[in-house]
Amino acid sequence: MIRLLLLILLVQALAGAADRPAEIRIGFATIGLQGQQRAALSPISTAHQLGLVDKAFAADGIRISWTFFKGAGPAVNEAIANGQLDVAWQGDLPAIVGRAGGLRTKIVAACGLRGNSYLVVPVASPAKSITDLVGKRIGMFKGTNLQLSVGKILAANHLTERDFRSINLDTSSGLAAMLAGEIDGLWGGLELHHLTNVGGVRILYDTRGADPVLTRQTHLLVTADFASAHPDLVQRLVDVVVRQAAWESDESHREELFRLWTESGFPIITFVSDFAGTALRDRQSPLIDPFLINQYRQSAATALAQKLIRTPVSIDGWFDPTYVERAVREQGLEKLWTTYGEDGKPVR
Amino acid sequence: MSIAADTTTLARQVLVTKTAQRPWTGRLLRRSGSWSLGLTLPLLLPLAILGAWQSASTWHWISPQILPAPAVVWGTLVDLTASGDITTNLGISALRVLYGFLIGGIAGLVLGLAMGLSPTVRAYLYPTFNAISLVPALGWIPLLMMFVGIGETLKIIIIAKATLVPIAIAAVQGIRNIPENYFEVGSVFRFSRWQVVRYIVLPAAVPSLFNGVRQGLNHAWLALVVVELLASSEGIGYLMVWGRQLFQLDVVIATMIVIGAVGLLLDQGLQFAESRLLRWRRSAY
Repeated sequence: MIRLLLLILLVQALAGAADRPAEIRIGFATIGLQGQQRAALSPISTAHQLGLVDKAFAADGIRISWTFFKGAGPAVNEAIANGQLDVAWQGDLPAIVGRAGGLRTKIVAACGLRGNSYLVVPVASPAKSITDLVGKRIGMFKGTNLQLSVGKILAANHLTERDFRSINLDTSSGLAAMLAGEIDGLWGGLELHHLTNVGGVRILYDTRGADPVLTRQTHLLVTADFASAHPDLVQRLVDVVVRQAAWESDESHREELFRLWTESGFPIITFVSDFAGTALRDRQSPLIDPFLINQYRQSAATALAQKLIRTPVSIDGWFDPTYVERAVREQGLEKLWTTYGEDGKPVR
Repeated sequence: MSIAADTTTLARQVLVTKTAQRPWTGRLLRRSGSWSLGLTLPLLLPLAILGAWQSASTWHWISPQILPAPAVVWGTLVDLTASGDITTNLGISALRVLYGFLIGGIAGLVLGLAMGLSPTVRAYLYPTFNAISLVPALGWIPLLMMFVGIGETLKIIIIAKATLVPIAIAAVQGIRNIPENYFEVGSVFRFSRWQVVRYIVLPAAVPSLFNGVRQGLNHAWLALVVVELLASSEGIGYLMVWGRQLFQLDVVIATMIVIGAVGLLLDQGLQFAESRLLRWRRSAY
């Protein structure tokens, strides 16, 4: 009898030890320009770069493994489904697609907001606005969060994708196609700045200074299993991200931050131009506010309308703002970031 | 004139008997063997895979998002067929493969025969041809795009290139493997250059050529997926890539089944054509 009790105690002790994972697996839905294990734009990527996350968990002997997926969001979804990731940085559409596919995750922080979309045309193009391109051949990398952003931009201009001859092209093929005169316009993100520097193309339209509902959002999510097994570890990770986000929201760090991001392969001018006229704190804010949640709700509806997902996705219960709220409170950052309402206007 | 014709016929008979000494008997015997066995054996492995697949989803060995249950995939296959997605896309893809295969096949045949027959042509072209053939299609796409744009031409050229290479290589090898004494027979009968090609080279190289054609078709079909990955919004390969992009692995698996089935049908069709075309060999018995 005593032996049995001892055995039970031993098993419990072992279970307690096993409770703490040996490693936390973090995945990025992006990769550096030339395949570098570096990303830019989000507090989690800068934290990775500076070794802040590894440091925060080193004391407990928890290793952090970082994976950068060239296959972007879809590859991250596959890795989550296969149980190969605990934490991921991803954009809105792939996460919605993953949720539609039945992945059980929790979004724990905003991590890179208001990503801009750009429409570039050949320098010689006579077009002055998006409307001038109606009926023309436009390239776009479909299935990425760009597609949703473009859908919203077109809708805001009383247009739809069907008003153009839309061609699925990734950025590098898109540039080749444009220089060959095969397409009349190309949608993309800040990477297109790089192309305007190379020459031959100019920006016809972009979302800088436009209504923020037209922009793209990215986030940090954890698997539901990881969140329920290790809420303390999630909190510690979010603490690091929030601290880094606060540093990145400080305008005096603007140049230093952009210089850090150039390790992803993009020249500094890319970030300088993309962030021109925007407060850092609006883009680096980790807050899960009504604006963010509504953006995902809208995106899920658009994704369904565009048949990118087959079943409606409920946004309710997907976001868990408690970690960020606690970190903000404990780090005394209540005044740093603005909470935005569903329409993208400040609520306080 | 009649003597010339007679010698030609005689030469043909000599050659037919010679070439027919390859192990055709074994194959014939196997073909006439039990039909039921011939139909059952190839099904065993697919059935075993299906069984493993069903077990994997019943006992959740693999996440259902990655490997949906066979019933789900079957449902998707039925849906995609009913909605016309599969047939429309398959039609578009089939047309691309057809054009690419015809162009690449003819070009490969001409190139291969030229390189096989003429040591001069071979000396000029073969090393370059080899080097070019080893570069994967993906590398050519951006460059080709500059010249031919992103339309159907690009896709057909890539498929044609994929077809051309194995056919040309098979032709070269087929011709080089013709025993020297065949040509000696030809010179005994004072064959003209054309007669050498018509009565010695072509018949002797046909089995190798057919191998090349079948490989060419395989490669064409594989290249299709690569070209439809880029600059395309239709086709069966596109449907597959798109399914993956949208995390709908049931669509991916459904298209895998369709692509595999069509590939198998094409191969079987060619095999049938081969046995029909080579019937004259059997008539030697």
